[in-house]
This record gives sequence, C-alpha cells and structure tokens, in this order.
Amino acid sequence: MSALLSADDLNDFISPGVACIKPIETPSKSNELEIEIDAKPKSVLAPAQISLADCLACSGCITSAEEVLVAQHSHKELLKALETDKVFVASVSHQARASLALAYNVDVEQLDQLLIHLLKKMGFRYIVGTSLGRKLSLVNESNSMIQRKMDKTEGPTLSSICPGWVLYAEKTHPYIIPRLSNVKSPQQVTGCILKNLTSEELNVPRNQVYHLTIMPCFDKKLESARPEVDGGTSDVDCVLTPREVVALIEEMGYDLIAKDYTFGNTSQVYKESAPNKWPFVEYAWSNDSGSASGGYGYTYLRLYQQYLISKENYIADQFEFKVVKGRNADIYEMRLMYQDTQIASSGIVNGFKNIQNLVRKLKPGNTVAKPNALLARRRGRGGSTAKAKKTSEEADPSKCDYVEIMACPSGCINGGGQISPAEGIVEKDWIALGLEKYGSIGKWDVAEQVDRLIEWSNSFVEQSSMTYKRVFETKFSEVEKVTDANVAMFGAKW
Amino acid sequence: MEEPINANPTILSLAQLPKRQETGSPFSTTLSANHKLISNALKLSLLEEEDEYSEEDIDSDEEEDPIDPQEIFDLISTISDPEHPLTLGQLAVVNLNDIEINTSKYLTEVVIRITPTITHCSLATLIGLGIKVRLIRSLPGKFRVKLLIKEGSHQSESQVNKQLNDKERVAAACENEQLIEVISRMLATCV
Amino acid sequence: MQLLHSTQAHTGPIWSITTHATLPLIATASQDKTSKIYSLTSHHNLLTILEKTHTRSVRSIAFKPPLDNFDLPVLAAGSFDSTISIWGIDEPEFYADVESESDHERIICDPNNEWNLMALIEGHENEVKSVAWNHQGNLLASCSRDKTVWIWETDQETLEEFECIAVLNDHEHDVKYVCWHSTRNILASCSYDDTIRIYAEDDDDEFACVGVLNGHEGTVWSCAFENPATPTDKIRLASVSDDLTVRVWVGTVPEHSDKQLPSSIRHNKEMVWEQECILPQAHAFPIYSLSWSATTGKIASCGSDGKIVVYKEVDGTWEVEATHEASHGVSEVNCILWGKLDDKEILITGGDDGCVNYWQV
Repeated sequence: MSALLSADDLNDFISPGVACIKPIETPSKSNELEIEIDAKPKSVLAPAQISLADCLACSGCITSAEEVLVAQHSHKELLKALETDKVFVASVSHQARASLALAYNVDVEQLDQLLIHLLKKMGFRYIVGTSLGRKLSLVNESNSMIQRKMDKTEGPTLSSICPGWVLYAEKTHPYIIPRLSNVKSPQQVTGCILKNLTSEELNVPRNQVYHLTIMPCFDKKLESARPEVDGGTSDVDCVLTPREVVALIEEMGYDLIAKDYTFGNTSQVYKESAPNKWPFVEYAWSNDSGSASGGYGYTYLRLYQQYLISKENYIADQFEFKVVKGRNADIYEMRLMYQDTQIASSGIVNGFKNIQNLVRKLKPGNTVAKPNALLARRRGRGGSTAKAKKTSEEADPSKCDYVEIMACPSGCINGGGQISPAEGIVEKDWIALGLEKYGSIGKWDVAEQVDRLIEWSNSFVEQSSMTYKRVFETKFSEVEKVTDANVAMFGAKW
Repeated sequence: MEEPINANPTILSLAQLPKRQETGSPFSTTLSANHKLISNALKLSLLEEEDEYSEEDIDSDEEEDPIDPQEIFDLISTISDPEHPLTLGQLAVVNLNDIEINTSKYLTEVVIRITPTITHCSLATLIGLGIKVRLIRSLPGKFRVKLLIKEGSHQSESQVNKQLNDKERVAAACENEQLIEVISRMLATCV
Repeated sequence: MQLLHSTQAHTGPIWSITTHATLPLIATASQDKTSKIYSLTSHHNLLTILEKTHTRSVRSIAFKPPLDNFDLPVLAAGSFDSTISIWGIDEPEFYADVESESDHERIICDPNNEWNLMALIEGHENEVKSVAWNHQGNLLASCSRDKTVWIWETDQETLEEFECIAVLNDHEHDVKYVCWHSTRNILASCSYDDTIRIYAEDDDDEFACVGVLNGHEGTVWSCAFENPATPTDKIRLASVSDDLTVRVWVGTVPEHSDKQLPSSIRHNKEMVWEQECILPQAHAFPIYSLSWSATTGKIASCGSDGKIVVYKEVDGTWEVEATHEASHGVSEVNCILWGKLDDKEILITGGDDGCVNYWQV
C-alpha cells in the first residue's frame, strides 16, 4: 500500500509538506501528537485526527499531507461505507479511464463496461462519466472569459480546475487569488447533478446518496472537501485514484477483466448505468478537444470565435488558430487570429517549474529597483560577443487572456494518482500511451451544444432548491500563515 | 495551551541536584565564562593588526581554570522546560554524569547526553536547541558542543542528534524569530 | 603555510567567499546579513558593502564567470531568508573607451563604483544554502533546506530575467551545496541525506539526476569538481563531510546519445560513479569546505577544528602535504578557496571570527 503512494516518481509535482503542524491547533485527547522531524509514530498510538478541511485551512504544508488524503479517502473507507444502507453512485473522469485502460490493456470503451460492471457488482446504483460536468464547466469558464473580454478586464485569468495549483496559490501566492476563475470543476458539478437527480429519482434524502469519483489526482480529494457556499451536503464523498482502484480490485480479489462478462453495446451500457433523467446521456462519457486536462484553454478560444461569428458578424473563414511553443512542452500559447491580428489567447502551463515562472511574472512590483538604464548599457557593450538573439516568438502565458494551469507535468493525464509505468517502459513513453488512450475517447463538440447545455443547466437549477452559485461557482481565499507561538514550539521545522 | 505532551513528569527537588562542593556563589562560574568570552572577543579583534597568530595567544590564559562538567551543568540545568514550570535539571533531562569534557591542544569538546522525559517527546529538538543556544552564548569560542540524545531514550535518536549537531541548521534556527522567542522564555530562568 | 594577511571583514561569522575569475575581486557572505567586496590585491581595499536586502544570514555567494574580458562583474548571493540577490555595477564612465585589461581592472575595482541590486529571486520555500553559476554564466543553481535544487536561466548579457528551468527534488533532506563542472553543464549537489547527486541535461534538454554517490556517513557539506589541465573521459569530484572524510569520486562522461535510437534505450544515460578513494584523515571535527586547485591539482580542506589541510596526489595516491592548526584562532573555518594574489596561488579562508585570511602555501 505504501509503495502505491511512494513519491519517488513525483518529480516536478507540487509535493506535500513533510510533517503536519496541524495537530497542535486541534484540541486533542492524549499524548498522540506526532510532529517532530521524520519520527515514525509508534503503532500503539492512534494518529492525531486531521481532516481534509484542516489541510485546506492550514499553511503548514504547501498542498496537503498525503497521509491525511489517503486516510480519509481510501478504498478501505469506501468498503466500510458500502456496508451502510446509503445509495451509491459513481462518476469516472476521462484521464482515470485512460490510465486504467492502459494498465489493463483494453480499449477505453471496454474498460468503461468492465468498470461499470464491477461497480454495479459492488453495489453502485448509477455510474456516469464526468463529461456532463466537464462540458458545463467548459461552457461556464468560456462564457465568463467572453464576458471578461467584453468588459476589457485585464488578464490573465487563471483556471482553478486543478486543486493542487489552487491550494498552492492560496497558501503561498495570495496575490494570485483575485485572478483565479471561480468556475467549479467537473468533479464538483457532476457530483451536484448526480446527487440531486439520484435523490429525486429514488426519493431518498440527498445526504443518503454516497458519491464516489475516480480521478487522476490525489488533490481532487482535497477539492471535494472544500466547503460549499450554502454549507450544505458535499457533492463528493470519496475520491479514489486509478492506483487506489487497482488496490481495491486486488484486495477484494476481483478480476476487472471478468470472465463471465460479455461486452454489450457501449452506448446501451452507458444509458442503463445513468439516472433516467441524465441529460445527453449518449454523451455522458464523451471527450472534448484541446489539452488532455480538459481543453479549457482551447474551448475558450473556440467559443469566443463562435460568439464573434454569431453575435458580432465576424467572417468565419477569416479566423485562424495559432500555436506558439514555449521553452518546454509543458508551456504553450494558443492564439485566436482574425484577419492576421491576434484577438484572444490562452496559455497552457503544466508542472511546478512552469507555474513558478508564471506566478513570479504576475507578482505585483516584480520588476527590480532600477535595472533599465543599466541593462541598456550592458546590452550596448556586449554586442560583439553576443550570441544571436532568439528571434522566434516564445509563448508567454502571463500575457494571455486565460491560462489553463495544472500542477502535474503533462497535465491531468499524468496526474499523481495515475498508474505508474509498466516494467521496462520509461515514463515519457507511458504518458504518450496514456494520451493515446485518452484521445481514443469519442468527442462531442461542446461548441455546437452551448445553447442546449445552458438551457438544461438553467432548468436544472430552477428545479433544484439550489442557487446557480451553489451549483456552478466556488471561491478561494488566502490561507493565513500560522504565527502562534505554540506552533513555533511544537511544530516549527528548522 | 493544550494539555502538555508529558503530563506527569518525574521531578527532582532542588536539593537533589548536583552542586559544586567548594565555596563560591553560583554566579562566579558564569562570570568567569563571560569573562573568557569577552577576553576572547577582544583577542580576536586584535587580529587585524597582528599579521600572524601566535599560538600562545590561543591557549594561554585558560589553563589554570578549566571549565568542568559541573560548570556546564550549572549553565544548562537552569533552563526551563518549554512545557512545565520546571528546569531541565529538575526534570533530569540533563544530568551531571552525562556531561563529558575532552580537551585537546586548541579545542575543548563538550559531549552532553540529554534524556528527554518521555520516549515520545516531540520537544527533544526544541530542548536541545535551547541547550545549544545557551552554551553557544556562554562558552568561549574554543568549545565545541556535541549534544546527543541518551541511547534508548528517544525513538528517533539519530535524526534528532543529526539536526542538533548541524551547525548550519542551528544557526538558521537562531534567526527564526518564533523559535528564538520560545528559547528566550526557556532561558529566562538561567542566571 | 604562512598567513599573509587577515581582514576582519565582518563582526559575525563568514559563511562563504568567492573570487572573480578574471578580476582581482573577492566577496564575502556573512551572518550579519551583508556581503562585502574587497580588492584581491595586496591593498585589500574594501570596495563596497551589499546590505539592506537580506533579512537573514547571507549563506552563499558566487561571482558570475565573465562573458568576455570587458564583462562587468556580477554576483549572486543566497540567503537564509529564502531569496537570492543578484548584484552588479553601473557601467563606469568612459568604460566604452577602455582598451587595456589593466585599465579595465583599475576602473572596475574603483571603490566609487556603485553596486546595485539587479534582481531578487524568490522561489525556495526556506533557507537557501548555496548558489553556483555554470561556466557559461547563463545558469544559476540554488539549493535549500526545502530539499530542492533549482536551476535558473538568464541572459548573461542583460541578466534581465531569471527563469526557473528545473526543480530537482531528488534529495531526501536539506541540500547543503551545489557546484557546477568547470567546462560542462554537469551539476553536483550534496545533502544532509549523506548523498551527492549529479545532474545533466537529458534528450529534451531538461536537467535530471544522472547519478547518486553513496558512501558518506554524515552530512556532505561541500564538493568540487576536478578541473584538470588535460581533460580526460573521466570526471572526478571531491567531497567533504560531517563523517570527517574527504572522498574522491570518479564518473564516466555521459556520451551524447544518438537521437536515432529507440527512446527506451536513449533515456538510459545514467552516469556510472564510484568512490575512488578516501583521503588520509586529518580533521578531528566536521569538514565544511574544500577547494581543488586547477593549477596544481591539490585539494585543500577546512572545518570545525580550525585546521587547514592541503592534500597532494602522488602517483595516484593522496598524501597530506601541509596542515595548519588554529587558522582562525579558536574559530571554525567555514570556507576555503584557492585564489590568485599578485599572480601567485594562495589559499583564502573565511571563519566564524568574521575574518578572511590569506595564506601562502
């Protein structure tokens, strides 16, 4: 189990802090505080209870304490929950499906069927893909960007879909927070809809519906613990990553590739596993264009283009999409050109290193005291020996309207919870294979469905007892630095 | 503050603590240490004018009054425990028998083995830091203090030992205001 | 070994010293939060104090290798306050007309030159322990107690921007020191986790760990690559540690891999490193610093015991050539460096007494 979580291949991820300082802030019953340098807790002592909400509110670690993530959202917790009389529903992300399909060497559609079969066997009533939630997030994100564009809001707006990145910003770069988009992620939106529809359909209270999500990333567990604006029941009860799903399957002694299972018609299977009122059910597992993190950057440009054509009489064939490379594969820009002039842009930034450079560029007062005069003169003198300046354009996401930011290098397809490369395969090739699987998932062009999606989401909000804000928006705030003297006493790392 | 980590420590009475048998106020030892520190500082500041160190300068005046374990004990046994209104001497965290002094030509090594009050004591590094700071501030420059957790008394001996004897980590900790505030409180009871 | 001169540069301990590759300049980093620059001439003039920038100890300091003979000096300083400062001078008047190297030196070493803060680099979570420039002066490596090694890229002419191009988190603990090879873009880092790690660029031009040197039984405080007069296909690295040993390691030069090969083969470019030898033990307390002379091939070390030790390699065997006790009085010696004073090779040390000492060997 611990090998499953070993962090040795997490190079360039935003890693969690070494030790947690939180226990000393929470009143605790006995001498179980475990806070010193790398000490191993004695097994007889129960570890201090730290909830994910504690992690969110504490500045001790950069993202989260892995142990806590796992303790609260483990497959063991799920097995325990399954013994209760709740109604169980699940949603599965695209990247997790790709990872599992790759690991079990099956097509994604086959994987979907096998997974649905397995989850049903375990007692799950409804299982859906996160496509509906993602498409609504994409539409909301793009529309809010188009609105900003009309308001001439100064960019860039930064995506908040990646919970690792968001938490890092909240804890270490609070000046970034006003730039974060408040559009909820597919996990949360899917969860809200799935819980509401299930509750309504089966006539059970909402809090009796237990929602499992399968996500590429451990930090999605943290996202699920963020408080809702109305303080009500959460939309997600347990988040498992593909790695943990594998552990779960192994522990239960199941075989995912069940011998007794005969593959059915995939769309039929999708339809039968979703709640009756699930909209666009034939597309419940469908994919989107753009990056393998969801395509937020691309979709914004696509929908903006469509908006200009339909509302502002722009000529359709005068548009061009241009991709400008950055200094590495995890940083690039997409530009929407109209009659050879740039009219909108999205940046893609993956991995801690690239995030670093972006946040430093966006820091107010970033420029140093008095470099300019000096620099100009330096340049003059160095001319003779200077190597040829790079003349080609290089991506600069800090100047874009919108930046899609993911904490993991290569984005969500390479999430921290995805299954590690098989023996003898290097990581890079493994990621490429994962991308291939991801790309094999059939697309449903969100641009052609904007009006239908909006129409449906409005009626959904109307019929629910929730506000639009509750369903589709989230909020972020600075995590205050701990300054308490007792913290220094017990938890200070030096 | 919450409940202390070690709620019921064993406490020694003041009378039980080891004392120097000879006459003389407890102040004299610290004073002499301070005196040495000052003379040392003066000595070093003169270096600018002198082109070469003379070896006599370095080890001349300390022969007649070497610092002994009792003196080290007196310096650190009065440090307060961060959790209890008691000193490290009273809690037997520091013991006279666990202080060792090794003298060589130029340097004097002090090896102190501390006994945290409970094996699980997460405060061991903080207490150790307090002792380290106290000795750095009080002893002349020729001393090298090695602080060790007494064998078997702590579950993460080697990690704690390593951190406490890392010069750079200790120096950086001394620039951490929050930590120094706590340390100052611990040292406030020292004479 | 004879003391040539001693400069009481700081009141607090000196953590680090650096000399300029071509100009007679020496800079110090101190616990008193400042750095000072002196002329490395028999006058030992104080040229400037770099202050009011760092809020904690300046732990490490390094002059950038110059681009050419007329490149203005640039300095990087890493601090316990988690930031790195970059310092340079305004171009002196009439500088563009300077032709001869001696005029150049005179003008650059003028105490009237104003040294300015050109950049303050943030990113590390806590104490920066070491900074080092690569031989081309376009890459700056830094390391921290946050267990990471970062590589920053800059345009060495303008130093306009420092862009992070790598965050290497291979070490398990506090990273104490980083150093670059003198002619290749190979980086070494040493750590509280008792290991040394070697990094080089992979096929995608990304820095990655290509070697781990296990052997030390305590914190590895510092390391230095050999810079032999006639380069061979072996690279040697010397390291010093809390375990009282000085070790020499030898590694094979990574071959530039053929991009035609299948990627599964291409990626396998780990360097093979092994311990060549342990130098004769001469220190009684932790060893904090060493320097490997490019001129004579001798290694010098210093540490907590106040001793300077010079080792010489004779027919593949290292022997202690000279030692000097109490080189900074009773103080610990934090850094040692081979340098040139009036064209003669000397040793320079910095200690807890705040002094910079110059030694004839």
